[in-house]
Amino acid sequence: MEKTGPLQPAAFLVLLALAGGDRHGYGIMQDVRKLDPAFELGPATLYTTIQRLLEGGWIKEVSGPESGERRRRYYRVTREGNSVLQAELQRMESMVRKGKSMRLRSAEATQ
Amino acid sequence: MIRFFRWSLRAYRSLLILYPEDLRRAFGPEMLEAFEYDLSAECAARGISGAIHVWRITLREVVRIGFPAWLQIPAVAVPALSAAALIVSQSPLLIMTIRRAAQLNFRPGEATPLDALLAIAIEAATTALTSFAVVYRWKRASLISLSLS
Repeated sequence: MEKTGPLQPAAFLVLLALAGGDRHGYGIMQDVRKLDPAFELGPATLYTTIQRLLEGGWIKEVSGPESGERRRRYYRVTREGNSVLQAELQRMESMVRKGKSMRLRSAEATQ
Repeated sequence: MIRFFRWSLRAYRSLLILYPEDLRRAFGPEMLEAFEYDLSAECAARGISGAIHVWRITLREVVRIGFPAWLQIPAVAVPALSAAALIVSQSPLLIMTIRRAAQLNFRPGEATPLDALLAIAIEAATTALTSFAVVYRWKRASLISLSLS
């Protein structure tokens, strides 16, 4: 998957959640809620995003620990996914810096 | 609450049919599991308002993810668009009859708002049944083979 612009919020948050380590679907959902409580992530959005990220090679499926009868699928960020995430974080950082400097300049102009 | 929880799981399992087939096949059981855990956690934390919150997100996802996927299937899109066109084309008649009813200006033999509403409902139901028959025939094989246990 080629990154052609800013990441979709759901893709960004899923990648960010997985940057903390391997997670299963519901684990990602919980982490996303902690990262951004305002973002409403349901199972369909989560798995649509996971499906796209898997297809794009930004995350991969790994075997996780077995829990009871259910064998859960765990996901891990790939090197490509990690570099996309880093690029997105840098883009956001630069936007925040620009936004802050603009606010400072407009505050100076009003004085 | 336990009864509501069980009903919710059954309802969500049924709602999965509204999502794209490839998503359902790849992640159906996991989506159901995530919904179950989410609902359980929200109910434990916030009670009924937590359950409403989970259902609100779920229904919004059906509209945002499920419906657009179904509308890419001609057997669904064509009847749905014809039903929408029918409702739009019949709505002036409904508005006219409502206006007349508001003015109490009826002549014998003229359609009342109820007549207009009934006509639209019958047409819409016919369209819905036609689309259901087509989709059921088309989807039956994949529905039978879909295992979510």
